[in-house]
Amino acid sequence: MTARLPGLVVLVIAGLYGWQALQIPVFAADAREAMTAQTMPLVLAGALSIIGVTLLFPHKSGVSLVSTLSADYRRWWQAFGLLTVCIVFGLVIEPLGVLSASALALLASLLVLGVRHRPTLLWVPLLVSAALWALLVGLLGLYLDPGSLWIADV
Amino acid sequence: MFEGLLIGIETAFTPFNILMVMLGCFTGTFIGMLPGLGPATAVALMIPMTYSLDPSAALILMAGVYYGAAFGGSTSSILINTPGCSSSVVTTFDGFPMAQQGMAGKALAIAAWASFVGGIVGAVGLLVASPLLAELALTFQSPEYFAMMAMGLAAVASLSGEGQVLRGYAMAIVGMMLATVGTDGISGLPRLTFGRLELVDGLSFLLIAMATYALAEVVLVILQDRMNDGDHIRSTQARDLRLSRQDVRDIAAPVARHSITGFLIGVLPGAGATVASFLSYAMEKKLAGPNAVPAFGEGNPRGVAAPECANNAASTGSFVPLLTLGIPGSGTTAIMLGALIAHGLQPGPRLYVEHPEVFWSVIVSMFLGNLMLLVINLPMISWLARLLRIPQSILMPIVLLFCLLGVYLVSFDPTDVTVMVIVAVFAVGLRLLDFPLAPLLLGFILGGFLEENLQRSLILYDGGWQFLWERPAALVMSIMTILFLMWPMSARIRRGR
Repeated sequence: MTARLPGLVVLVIAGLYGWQALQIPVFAADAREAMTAQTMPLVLAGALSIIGVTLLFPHKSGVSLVSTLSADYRRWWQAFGLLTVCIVFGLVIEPLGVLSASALALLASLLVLGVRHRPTLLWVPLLVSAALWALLVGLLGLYLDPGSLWIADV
Repeated sequence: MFEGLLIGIETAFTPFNILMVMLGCFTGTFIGMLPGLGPATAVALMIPMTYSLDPSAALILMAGVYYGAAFGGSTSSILINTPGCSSSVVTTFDGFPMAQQGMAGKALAIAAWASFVGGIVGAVGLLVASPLLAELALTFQSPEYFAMMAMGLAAVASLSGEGQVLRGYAMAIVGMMLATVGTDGISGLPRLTFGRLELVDGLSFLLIAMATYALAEVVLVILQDRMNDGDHIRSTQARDLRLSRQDVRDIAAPVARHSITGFLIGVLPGAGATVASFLSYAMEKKLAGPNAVPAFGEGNPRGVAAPECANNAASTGSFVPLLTLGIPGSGTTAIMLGALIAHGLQPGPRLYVEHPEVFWSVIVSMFLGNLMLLVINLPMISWLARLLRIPQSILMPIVLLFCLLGVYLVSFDPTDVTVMVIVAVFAVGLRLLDFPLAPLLLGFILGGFLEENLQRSLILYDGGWQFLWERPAALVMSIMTILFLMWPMSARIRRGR
């Protein structure tokens, strides 16, 4: 089953994409042309399906990198935690602004990766986010919104 | 050519651009040293920084990061037996044994000099080959462009690596599928946008690059337990960086040989620095014979010099198809191509005519960058190596922050951050199933142009496909495409016999 997984994944992608490609509207005037908005997507879906079917029957078992994954469940929590930090960063960046959101994201990532040394937890987020902010605003001349939360307070 | 060269010198030798080369080499060396983070990640992380720069400075910075990262990759290969990127895997074979025998400084110096010569030979090749190829490519029209892009995609996918060819093709197609999202060039209507306004302009290239090369890499470093705590680096000694006359005599011939082969391999779309380094090591081992002292794999300096000059020459060589044809030869140059497009430039023969300052300044900066790596980075290597002592539990969050800010600052749309996470999770899954991601990126970048040029060609030829055989250049490239597609099959048949 593991050997057929890549083929199955490719077939699912091809199927979903092909179904979406069939929903692309085509004007009646364009329908007679050699190429419409649907042509390339349908060709791609067809080609991917053929590859998917071929991958279902591998002539030898492929090199699966799944075996290289850590057996330590903490690594999985760390990876999940970092991705959660990313999503939360996206949610808070507009109210908090780039500087505060960056510092908090760094602090949270350090905690997720197991850093407990207090000076590190204090100085790394502060210095790195301040340096990045200075680089973006001072050197590269970008305008960075201070964050709606702080503007509302003013 | 000389006029162009003067334009390049004038542009590249401004104080700001020299600073960009230095910054690129230094940052690239540092990122390249970090296990797991190779040149592609390093270049992807730098893209947001380039948006406020002019295109010449941006490309000079990214080129500096590219060969700086290759140099950094060899450093960690030699010092801690952990290659920073795939092209420096071979360097561990003899570089680390040399370090274990107390010759880390010598191994680093050999790697640096070999890289320097490889880089300079590559830059000379780029200087000579690029204008010739660009002049030829100026005669190209839509049919040739379509055939050329099809050839580039076929080449990159077919050279994906042992057992990865079909997966390479699958990824190139998935990349092209992602490129179809957005406004359709034929009808002008939104296509595959699910009614969302954010998708009308298509998916952001930077988002895809950051998700597949940077964020996915961070997640994989954690999941594969590749994080070091920096403690094991304290024992490395890299002080004596001098080479004796005998050392120079030993490595001179391999360096000369493999600089040229490396460049030629680099010019081929898809082959790249990794193939060049493995091939040159295998060739040198064969040439040295079984009686080489010390044996290959036990600290032979030729085993460090050959792959190092070949991978640097190949990295430079990969700029030939990028600059002259607009076809990136590797994942890293694919990211650079995307960044150039974001700057409003279309790499290819028109770049040579319309933006000669960009074209030539990049070539000139190659000489400058390689010199800087040797003169500035090499003496600083023991200091730079100390940065490896910083635990990755501190470095990885900083890389993560670069990804987040990079994606957010392009669109100022927080939704992009969430989309990046989704794409990264998808990319991690694909990587674990051994799908190569470079063809995906290439398909994403070339997919739109391929469709556009196919459509124009079909209009020119009243819906017929005869443009593929009636136009000589398109015919040659179509044949090459077929050969690239057939190559893996013929290789399998040969192995079967």
